[in-house]
Amino acid sequence: MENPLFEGPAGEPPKAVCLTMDAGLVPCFHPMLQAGFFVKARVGKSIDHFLCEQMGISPNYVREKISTIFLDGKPVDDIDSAIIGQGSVLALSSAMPGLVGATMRRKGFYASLRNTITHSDDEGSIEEREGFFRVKVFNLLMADLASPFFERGIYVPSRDLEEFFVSLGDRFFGGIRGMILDGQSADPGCLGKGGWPSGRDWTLLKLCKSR
Amino acid sequence: MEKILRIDMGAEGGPKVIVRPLGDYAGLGGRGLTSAVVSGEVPPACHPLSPANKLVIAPGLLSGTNAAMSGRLSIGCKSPLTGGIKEANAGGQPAQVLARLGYAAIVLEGKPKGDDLYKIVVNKDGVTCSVDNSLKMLGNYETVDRMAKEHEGKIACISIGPAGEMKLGAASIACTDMEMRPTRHAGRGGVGAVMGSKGVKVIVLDDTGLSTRAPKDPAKFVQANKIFVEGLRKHGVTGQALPAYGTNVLTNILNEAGGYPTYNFSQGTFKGASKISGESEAALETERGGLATHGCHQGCVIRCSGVYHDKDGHYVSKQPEYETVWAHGGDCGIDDLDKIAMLDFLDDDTGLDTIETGVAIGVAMDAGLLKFGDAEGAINLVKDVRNGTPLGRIIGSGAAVTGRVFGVERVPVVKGQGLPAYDPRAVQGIGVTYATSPMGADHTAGYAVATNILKVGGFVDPLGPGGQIELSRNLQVATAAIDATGMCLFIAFAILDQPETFQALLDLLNAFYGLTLTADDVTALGKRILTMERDFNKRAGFSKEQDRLPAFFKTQSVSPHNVTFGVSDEDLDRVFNW
Repeated sequence: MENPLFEGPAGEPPKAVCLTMDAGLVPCFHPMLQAGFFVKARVGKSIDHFLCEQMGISPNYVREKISTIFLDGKPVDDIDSAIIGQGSVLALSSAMPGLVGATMRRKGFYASLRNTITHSDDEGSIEEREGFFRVKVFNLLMADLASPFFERGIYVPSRDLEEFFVSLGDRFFGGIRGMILDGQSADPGCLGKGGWPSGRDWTLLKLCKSR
Repeated sequence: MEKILRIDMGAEGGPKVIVRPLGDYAGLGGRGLTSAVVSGEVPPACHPLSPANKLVIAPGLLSGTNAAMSGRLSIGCKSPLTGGIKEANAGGQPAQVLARLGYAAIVLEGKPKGDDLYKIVVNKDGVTCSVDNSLKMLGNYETVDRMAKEHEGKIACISIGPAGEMKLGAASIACTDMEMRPTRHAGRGGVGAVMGSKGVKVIVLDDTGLSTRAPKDPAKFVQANKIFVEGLRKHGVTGQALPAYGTNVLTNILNEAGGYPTYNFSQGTFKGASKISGESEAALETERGGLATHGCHQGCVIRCSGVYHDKDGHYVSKQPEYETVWAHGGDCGIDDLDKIAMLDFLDDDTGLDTIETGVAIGVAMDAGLLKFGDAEGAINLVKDVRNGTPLGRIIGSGAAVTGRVFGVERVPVVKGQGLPAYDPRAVQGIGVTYATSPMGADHTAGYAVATNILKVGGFVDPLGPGGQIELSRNLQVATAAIDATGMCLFIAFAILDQPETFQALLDLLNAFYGLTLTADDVTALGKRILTMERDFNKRAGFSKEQDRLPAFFKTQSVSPHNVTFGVSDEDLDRVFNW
């Protein structure tokens, strides 16, 4: 649910990192998509508005492929009326197997089987403003939605990002073609060595694919 | 599949083999046949390990044909775990091979007087049943390896591990996959214990020299199969999600929904979920040279399984399924895929139901025997089962026994069988099926339905308050019917969304047998099967009081949604009103 006290990356300017890398390395970031990342966007707007208007994802893709959506842990049936708040958690998935997978599906036939946890539209009004919330992307959607999110930029706790880069091997760093750090060219070699970035709780991460 | 192979393991002078025509069982296969034999021939009050129980092994109506997805084998008996009727089923090769051998079922009856262990071989020349005590207490992998060396040509094996020989309540029956590994299990309900009580270690099936079963109308059969396969391939779940990630793709979803039973059903989310998700598992398998996509039987086009290697690229186990990853993972607080894969291997080799074993270990952890998250401790417990230690025998007897021995209140079982990987407080409708299925807590009992069937007998508003009861009823009916066909239940997603794919399934049956089945007939078959099963349970002493979830689901809420199970007993009692 909305957490108006959630400050997230708004508390201080984040470190801004833009990596240019081989397209084949994008799947290395899939664990980050699963675990969740933060976005800066208009809150107090519907899920449909966020995906189509703010992220630029085609309505057809949203309708056909993003079959299962959770908002703050609750399965959503109507993305036009489900409103994202400050500090919310939005999770996106393709159609899932099993009876329970089908039960979680948007406007699915089996929705009544999970009626006690279904997202309800009357959760009170949410102020519309610029804010931050968490997004998780699962399974088949990771390959399709990684680019839109990473090109727009995602916010990640710096400590988590440091651990992530340290866990990657030489194959990853060999595919990094360039790095811009706070607007300046920087050596990507520092990423895997730990102790980075210092002094900032949050990092704004963007990925660009090298041609 | 015109004959039934009966083997009286307790006959004077040694096991006696009798082959008879199907007779009154004509038209039945898979779960339809196993439940008909058990409900008709097994005294409901008998002890499950006594000579009076029977173990019925039956391929489905379409097994052994060229129909895609037709490789499921049903195994039925009176369950030593639930005390009621049981049908457990498995993929792998045995269904295809047994059907091509012409047998609608193998029925193991009686009980040998001594403690000799038998090996049964079935081929086109007949059946041999011989003592082979060198197989005693071997794991499934070594047993199958020895059979492969003894027999030339491609064989399929049905075997038990040490758990079945010890007649433990969580004992499974293993079926070999296309690589001759004992990785597909008829897991639930202790069916392995019944096979152990019959003194049978392994059944070797060899269809060398035999061909695929021929349909009555080949042209229509081929056409129906083409449409069926097209439907499976174009559907997002069967054509993409399952091949890419397997069933474990559900981990992130259930966790997000707050319905992922964690720390023995004490909460609904697990912070380590993404580390053991299907997405993480597939990436690791691919990185290590395993397989993220693999079919368990000939004719599978969904290929939801896989192969799991260790960090050095060596085989560990088949890709652990969602239920296994949950039972040994989140339910026990373990977030290490390597340890979970090792547990999966140990379960397969020992011959244990991964769900029951994981739930039992979760109960033991709740009792303080181990800390939640102690993966090495969990591995040692399964090794204890294998070695037959007193503690191992407790765990291997399942979650209910474990809970009683250690004085635990929160024991998630229905009819004595451990709950699977969906918390019924978050997904109340699945709780209806857990409570009311004749099988005990079973996530596959109400799994499949097609809209064609849903509208038979009147349309139900799925969003209405009464929708859950009717949905569970229709799901259980349709699933029982599909279980009779030998079809993998994962066709359910495609036949739900695509009426032409469901029609193609009917056309396959009709073209093969020269019938004119409709959706009404499918419903009638499902109801017939469920009626037989409920009647058996009633005669075994079950009443509506057994169609309930454990009380803690109504009194202890589950985070993060803080919900309890709210379906009334009166509503549960309406499920089988027809």
